[in-house]
Amino acid sequence: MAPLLEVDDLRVEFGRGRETASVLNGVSYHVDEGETLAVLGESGSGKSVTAQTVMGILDTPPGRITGGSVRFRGEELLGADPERRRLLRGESMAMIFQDALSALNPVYSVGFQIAEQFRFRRGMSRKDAMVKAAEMLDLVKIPNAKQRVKEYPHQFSGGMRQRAMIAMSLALDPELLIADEPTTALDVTVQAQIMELLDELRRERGMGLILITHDLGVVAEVADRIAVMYAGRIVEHTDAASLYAHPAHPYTRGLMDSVPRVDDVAGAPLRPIPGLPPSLSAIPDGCPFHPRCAHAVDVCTDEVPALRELGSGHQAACHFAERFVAEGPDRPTTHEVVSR
Amino acid sequence: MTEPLTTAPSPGVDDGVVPDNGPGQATRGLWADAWTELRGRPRFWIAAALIVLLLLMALAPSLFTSVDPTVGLLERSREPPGPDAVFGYDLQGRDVYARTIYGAAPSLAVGFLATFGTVVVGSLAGLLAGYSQGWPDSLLSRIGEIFAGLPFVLGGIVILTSFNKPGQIVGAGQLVFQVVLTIVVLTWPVAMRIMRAAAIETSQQDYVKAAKALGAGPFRVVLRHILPNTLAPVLVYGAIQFGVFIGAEATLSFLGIGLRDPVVSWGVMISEARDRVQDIPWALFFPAGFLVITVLAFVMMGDAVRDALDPRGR
Amino acid sequence: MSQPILSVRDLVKHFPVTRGVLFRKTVGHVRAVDGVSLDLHPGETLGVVGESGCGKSTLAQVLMRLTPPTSGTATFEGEDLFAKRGAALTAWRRDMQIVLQDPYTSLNPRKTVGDIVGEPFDIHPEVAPKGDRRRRVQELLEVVGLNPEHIRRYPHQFSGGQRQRVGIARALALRPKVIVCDEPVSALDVSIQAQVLNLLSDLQREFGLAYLFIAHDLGVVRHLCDRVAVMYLGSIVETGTAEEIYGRASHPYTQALLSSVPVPDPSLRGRRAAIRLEGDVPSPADPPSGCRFRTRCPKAAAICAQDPPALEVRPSTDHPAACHFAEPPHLVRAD
Repeated sequence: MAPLLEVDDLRVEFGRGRETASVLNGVSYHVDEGETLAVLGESGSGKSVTAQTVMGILDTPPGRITGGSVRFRGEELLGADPERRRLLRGESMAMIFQDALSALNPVYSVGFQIAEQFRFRRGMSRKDAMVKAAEMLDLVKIPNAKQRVKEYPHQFSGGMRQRAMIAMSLALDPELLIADEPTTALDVTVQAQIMELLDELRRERGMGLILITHDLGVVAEVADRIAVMYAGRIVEHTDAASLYAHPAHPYTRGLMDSVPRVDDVAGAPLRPIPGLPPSLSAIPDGCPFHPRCAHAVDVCTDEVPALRELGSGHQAACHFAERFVAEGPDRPTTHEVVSR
Repeated sequence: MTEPLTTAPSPGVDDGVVPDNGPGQATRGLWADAWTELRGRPRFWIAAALIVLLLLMALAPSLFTSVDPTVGLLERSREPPGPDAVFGYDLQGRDVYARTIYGAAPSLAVGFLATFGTVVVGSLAGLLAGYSQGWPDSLLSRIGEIFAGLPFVLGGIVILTSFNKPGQIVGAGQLVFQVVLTIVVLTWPVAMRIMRAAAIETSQQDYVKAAKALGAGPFRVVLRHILPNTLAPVLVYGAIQFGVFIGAEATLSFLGIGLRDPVVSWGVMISEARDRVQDIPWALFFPAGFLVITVLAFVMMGDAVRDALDPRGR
Repeated sequence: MSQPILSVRDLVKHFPVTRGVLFRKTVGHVRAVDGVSLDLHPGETLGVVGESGCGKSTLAQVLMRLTPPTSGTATFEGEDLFAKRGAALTAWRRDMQIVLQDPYTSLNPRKTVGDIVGEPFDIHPEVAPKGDRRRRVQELLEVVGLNPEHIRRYPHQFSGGQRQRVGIARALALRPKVIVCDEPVSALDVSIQAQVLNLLSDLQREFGLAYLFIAHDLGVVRHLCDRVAVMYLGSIVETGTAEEIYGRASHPYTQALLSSVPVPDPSLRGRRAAIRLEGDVPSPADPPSGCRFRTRCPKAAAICAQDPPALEVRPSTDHPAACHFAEPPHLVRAD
């Protein structure tokens, strides 16, 4: 059976001429029903652009899809009839964003905005649609959903707004939900609530979930599989456990060494990745990570390492991936489980 | 205001050299860098050439024509452009070319002074209101609302008729001054609002906080941090208003309270000619064309200056 | 222990909430900071952690004398900080500086990096003679790891992390004794964040700085801070050394906060104690009676609605916490 979503060798550019930025340089991943794929990357890695291309909401221009394919249940979406894609959005795939405040229209009540989908895509009456909207708010665990359905976005707190966004995106029961940094703007206690809610909804509904984030901690807690992106490429892809236990790409390893953790021993120095991510209009030849990589040798500056299979589904785009897998992570894996 | 606020260029810095961020050169700052930037833009030079030409026309009209713009021979009335008069003659048989040339001075004077006055008064009030955000803000905003609430024509009639008795003969300079004053009094609140909004936004930026934390006084904060970051919208407003003000002068002239004979201005010419567009189109076309070119030149200049003052655009 | 360089007692900052256009009427107060006391010793890092709206940034603004306090006192090297005026205030600013959160708004976009880092010397000309400034600015850029030849560049020509380094150079210019760091790395990417944190550590060692380090990221605070104060709705709810807070937190809020932080280790999934707080932080304009945290607290009882708990050491704890039921966490071990 074809996977729920399959992205294959996706390429996107921004701008023209000398200023052309190669934002995606051959991105491939897939998501199955009921699983969580985390796309991990820093700003400029292309993680959000991939999601927008999948959803068909990438602004073109300035963006330009120059190659690859996006298949939903085997159906090719790139180049498909715009009307068909519009129908798929909401019904089959939906997306939530980092900034829930700007994603909600301030002049309509939250309930009205959720009800709109039932009215226009399910042909429900205004009254029935509002009842359904209240049910959706209840589903995302907003207390007093029947009263709050009439309130406006500014009357909701940050966490509530993100819940309302989730309710809105799930209204038409999509099979795939893309969450683009859904908790980055939220406080850590609220983040934990939202991540738990998303995980629960995914399990109950058997949805595929693509979680786009920069937070290695969030990923470790919910992801089944993880794709690490750097400079518009996937540099490592494997299941969550082996990514953290046997990181194969120096970039992934660098990220893990860079994060200060609450369960660290105090005073342990961080080992940051030196330098800066490359400009997307001047990506270095060879491995895009080589200027920042402590292990780079001649072959790294000459040859672009392909994303290759290392065994048991672990893929990495590094010439020396096997060596790093064997070494294990730089940090000790067993942490003192701080009792709290 | 245009002098470099930061360290002056050291004597070793050659003005003709493109800055290369080399270690041997002193920090020059925003204004010096903006000037370097401006010199490299064709748009700036086209605008500058047009403005210089217009100023020359205003200051020395006799360089361009030897015809007296006020002499009208009725037998030449409505004669179309020809070898004698390249722009033709108007209803009263006056040379449209000569009138257009002589009209530049009062028109430019009104446009320039009114723009300058509005922008300066409005900006100062806006900076004060936006930076203080206390009672001066409330007071200035309320005063501004009173002036902005007066309809322009009504306000113009009230102000100008209280200066001059009907039928009184007033000199051209005095009349220009009165018209400029009227326009400034009635339009400064718009510039103030633009500046106030920009100043409020800028004064909440972290770099203003950082400067205050370093011990910067209010003058340093306003001059170095707020003003350079709020100038752009007011500059654009001023450039567009330049043309509007020349039109406003025409409105006042049309009502008989602005500039009038024997003073020639583009506004006066346009308002005289507009009833006879079909009859003598050239009498309208030429002054209107000059007005459009003037406005364009100033808008281009405003645009170029705004871009040059924004390092992000380079 | 040495004398504190900065000592704050019962600091309160309320912002009036006003209505009306012509006649402004105060209809309430946002209690941004509501009775905060803390001591900062020379050369140490005190972390102030809390979620958005807990008043930690307002605390920084008040201590930097950017906005006046409503009440309370603060002393810097024994002198009353809020009584300083004129020349004394300007002179004090050399000793205490701030690094702000957003590297995109904390640098004037229309000034060159040389002007930004040199501005402290313009304001305090006695620190560096005019002819010497350029060299001093270039030294500072080098100290924070930037190319000193980039003195003529504008902020937009730098990345976020590089801009934050410029902000640090500006704060360092006057050789302060205390730097308030207001979320200095929260806007940066993970790999860049680590670079800036290491820089801050190095600078502390090199110049003997004391940091008041304000952040919401508990991992960052753990990494950098000697002592930690946890804030909730304008007050400090728990304070102690980093070991005490991260190892033996006794306030239910701190415990919940720590258990909410995701740990990048999938092998711990489902094995960490999870304390999930209900709902959101109440508005600081209308805080709950008694204990501020009681509306979300799993331990809340009748007494919590009446008596605000004092920040003190209780029988079963070894460091101060503002909770009637403060106790060390139950040991939850992975088995």
